[in-house]
Amino acid sequence: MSTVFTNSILNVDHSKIESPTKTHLADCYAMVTTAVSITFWAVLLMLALCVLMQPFWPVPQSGRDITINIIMGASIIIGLLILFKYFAEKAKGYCVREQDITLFKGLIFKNIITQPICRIQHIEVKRGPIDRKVGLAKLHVYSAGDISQTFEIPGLALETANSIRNQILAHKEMQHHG
Amino acid sequence: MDNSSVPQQTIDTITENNNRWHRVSPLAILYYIEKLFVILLNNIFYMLPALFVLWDKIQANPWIAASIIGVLLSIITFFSIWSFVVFRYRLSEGTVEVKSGIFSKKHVNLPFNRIQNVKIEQPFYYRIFNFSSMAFDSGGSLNQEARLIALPLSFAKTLQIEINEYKSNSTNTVSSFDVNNEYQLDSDNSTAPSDEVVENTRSIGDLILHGITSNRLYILLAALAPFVDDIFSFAGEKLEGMGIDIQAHLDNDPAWQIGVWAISLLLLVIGLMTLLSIIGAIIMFYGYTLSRTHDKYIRRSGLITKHEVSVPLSRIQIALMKQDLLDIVFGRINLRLDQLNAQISSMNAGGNDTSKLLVPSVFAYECRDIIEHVFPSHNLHNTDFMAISKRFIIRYVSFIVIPITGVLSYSSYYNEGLSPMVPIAVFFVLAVLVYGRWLRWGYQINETYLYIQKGLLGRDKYCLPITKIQKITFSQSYFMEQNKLASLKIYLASGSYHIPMIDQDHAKTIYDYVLYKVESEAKAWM
Repeated sequence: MSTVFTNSILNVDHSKIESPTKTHLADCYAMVTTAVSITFWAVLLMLALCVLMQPFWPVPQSGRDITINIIMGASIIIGLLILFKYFAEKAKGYCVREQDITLFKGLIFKNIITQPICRIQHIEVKRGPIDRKVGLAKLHVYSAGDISQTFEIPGLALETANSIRNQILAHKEMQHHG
Repeated sequence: MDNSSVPQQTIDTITENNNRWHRVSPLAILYYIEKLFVILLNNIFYMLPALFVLWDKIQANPWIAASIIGVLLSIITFFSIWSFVVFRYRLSEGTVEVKSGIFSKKHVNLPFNRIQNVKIEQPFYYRIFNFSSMAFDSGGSLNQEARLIALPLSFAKTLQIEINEYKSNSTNTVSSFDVNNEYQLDSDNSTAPSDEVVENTRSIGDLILHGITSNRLYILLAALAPFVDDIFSFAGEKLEGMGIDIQAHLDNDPAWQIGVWAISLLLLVIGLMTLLSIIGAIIMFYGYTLSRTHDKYIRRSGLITKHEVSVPLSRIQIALMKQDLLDIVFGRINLRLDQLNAQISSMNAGGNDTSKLLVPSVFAYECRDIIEHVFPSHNLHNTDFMAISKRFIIRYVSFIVIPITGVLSYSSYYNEGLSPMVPIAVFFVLAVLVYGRWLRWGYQINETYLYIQKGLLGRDKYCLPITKIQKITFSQSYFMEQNKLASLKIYLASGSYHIPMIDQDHAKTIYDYVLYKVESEAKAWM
């Protein structure tokens, strides 16, 4: 390589920093995912209660009591998990440097996953129906090997996702590969 | 299909009157039957415990069982014929196209100059008719592999030559846009006289040793352990039926005699298992040769079905020296050179060992020489590994061993049947295993290679070339952060590799160095 190797963080303040630093995801992201999971579980709970209370095939009283206890217990546990997930989503972040892209995640187990851009096979911006509603997007980055571990940055504002994608595509190594 | 006339036809005539879809010989049905059988057998293995439990029911209604088997066989035959009927191939304008599949239709279109590797296989049922099947490897994902089943051998060989010639002719016209330099090297090679040299062969003695050492007896025993009671009562009933009363013997005979019986029974089982394993090793590795051209390793072996795997050196992602306990005793090593998605394909059952670049039961110096061609000046065979943190032991003892012991002690407290010695013994055994695991873990890094060692009874040593790394994860739990420790996970195209609980600063240095090396050199990983 003739040019000097640099790997500073892009889009910050042009200071050359060695280690990746965390940029947080879009503000509404954690709230939105939490709201989605609360809605999902609430609907499921309602369905379970409907089945339990429907008049056509009456459930015996003792069975009903046990089921209600189970449902109560389960909702407490699920509620705690959702709370945990909220903070976990809040803790996620990313960093785009000249040569690589980094994902920060985890609350108890903190993971820093770094993907060199020269090893990226292809890249996708994905948007589900809810993402489209709130103007968010996910960035999927694929490299060779272990398919189970896809590199995914969720909760990016659409413009951010697109600009990261364009930056990666503009990288000289990516253009090399065509 | 006129099987007999095809071999006489040259490829030219075939490629001239092409643009037509061809069927293969009906012998392809045999191929599909074999494939479905292998899938079925693999699944039966998982169903064995269920079969064992249901054995009485099966015996009571043999007709139902027989008809189930009959139905299964006819389903297999039906689908095999159907698969054959929908299978079509076409050779035109320097591409091979294959249409196949019943439910999920697949249409593979593979230009000759994308073909990295042509593999000709001759399963035993084709050898009688002098047929073969061809696999074209494009170097991409597994889905892009095309396979022509049931072609006359001479036709397959002509086609192979044709493809190689096509590739070398078109090399000049291919624009630089065509990504792989490596492929161009490849086709240069195909016109040049082959510089193939035999690097390694395995004698029958080696294979017998491999059969003994790679014996998976203890895994089978562990899998059978939950059914020990059933097996004994079953065997007892059988023997009683033959006029031998085990219970009477157990009650009357002296203890030493029962002991001798038990030991000889055990030895008999071990002997049988070992024999099976040796037979398996010989079937798979008979006539093993590993040869090398300037840019490829080629492995040929097989007693019943002959396999040929050729792998360009540049496609090899890692070298792995694998030793089971018995391998360590005999001083032998199983060497594996993994390519793409090796970990995934080893999870999919069926034919996994045959498609790998594996050298069974070699000595350390042979290992060193073979790896040397792929990863020059590596030092895998005598690396001083650095130990991981002792907190590894604390972590596994407190988060896995103690909970297990806790549950066991709880149940032994409330359950008369369980002796309090059991949880204590379990605790010590597990703790010793965790300690052994810690003892084996090790890592080392130099400018070009990252070495990892792990194992428990056996020992696996990995050599990862740093420039081929795809991505890296640095992770830390709350407790690890308190103790200034971190783990690394390294991803290559062949799979992922883990270094747990090492010094945080050292982990950070490795993490930074790996990224620097990969990004600044940006060397091809394939």
